[in-house]
Amino acid sequence: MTVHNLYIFDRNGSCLYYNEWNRKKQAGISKEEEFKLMYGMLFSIRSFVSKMSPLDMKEGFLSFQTSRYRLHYYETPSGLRFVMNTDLSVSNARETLQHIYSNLYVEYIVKNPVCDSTHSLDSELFSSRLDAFIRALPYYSPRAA
Amino acid sequence: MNSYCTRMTVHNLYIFDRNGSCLYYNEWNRKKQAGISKEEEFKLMYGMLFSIRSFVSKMSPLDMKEGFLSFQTSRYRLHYYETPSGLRFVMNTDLSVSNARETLQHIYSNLYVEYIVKNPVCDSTHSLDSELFSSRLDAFIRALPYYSPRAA
Repeated sequence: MTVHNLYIFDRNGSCLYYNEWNRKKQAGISKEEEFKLMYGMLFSIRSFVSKMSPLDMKEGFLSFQTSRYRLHYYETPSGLRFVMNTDLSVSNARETLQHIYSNLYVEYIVKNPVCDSTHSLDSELFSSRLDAFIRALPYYSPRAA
Repeated sequence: MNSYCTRMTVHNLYIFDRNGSCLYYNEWNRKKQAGISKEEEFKLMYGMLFSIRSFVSKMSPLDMKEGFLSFQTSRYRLHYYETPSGLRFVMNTDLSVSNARETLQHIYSNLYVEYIVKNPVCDSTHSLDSELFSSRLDAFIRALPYYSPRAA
């Protein structure tokens, strides 16, 4: 079981944070292009999902899965977007992402007068706490898939 | 976390050929229309899935095997199955259905192949026009363990 990587985007599409824990294959494009593709694609998926919905939507797009991984999506009311790729054994990472938002992002970025949350998240404390949190997850395993 | 006691159901099914033409569409339980014409809807569905598959493969942190299988929202799940010949089955169900792959494989092997491909009168490159196919498919969907008539 494992977490592959995590992206945090603001509502304008800028990637504020990215880290990977277990990624065996790179995208073959620059990180900047990858972030744009990720944000743009999720924006389109959410729009499509809502239009094609056979029922009235509540929350909207939550996750997709492939034969190898699952992508989890969480958006805060302020438009901050958390995107996490895990292996297939993780069916619901919503609480994990909510925790990352409330207990890590809000605590170490928002409440930090020195940190400018509109730019790249530059806090070592945030990075290390997030890293520790991910590695402590029940579904994180260092020598993974 | 909400846990509604929703009835299980299949909302609708699309079948596309490898060029993007929608060969078949039917709905069983759809409460909300897309607000665009069916033709536009089919194009959007096919185009979006094409893009999702391309994106999913590029962003994959691991080497892909099969590729995109499904996505879920807070209200429904979309299942995707592509045959080796490029025929694409897309089915929307409610959230209680986690894996519809076998269902879609059955629809392909036992309904599409049997009633369309093996039918000399049916032209499988155009809209699937077989009443037998339609009725057998309809009966199959309604007989699914997760299909319930008065649903979600």
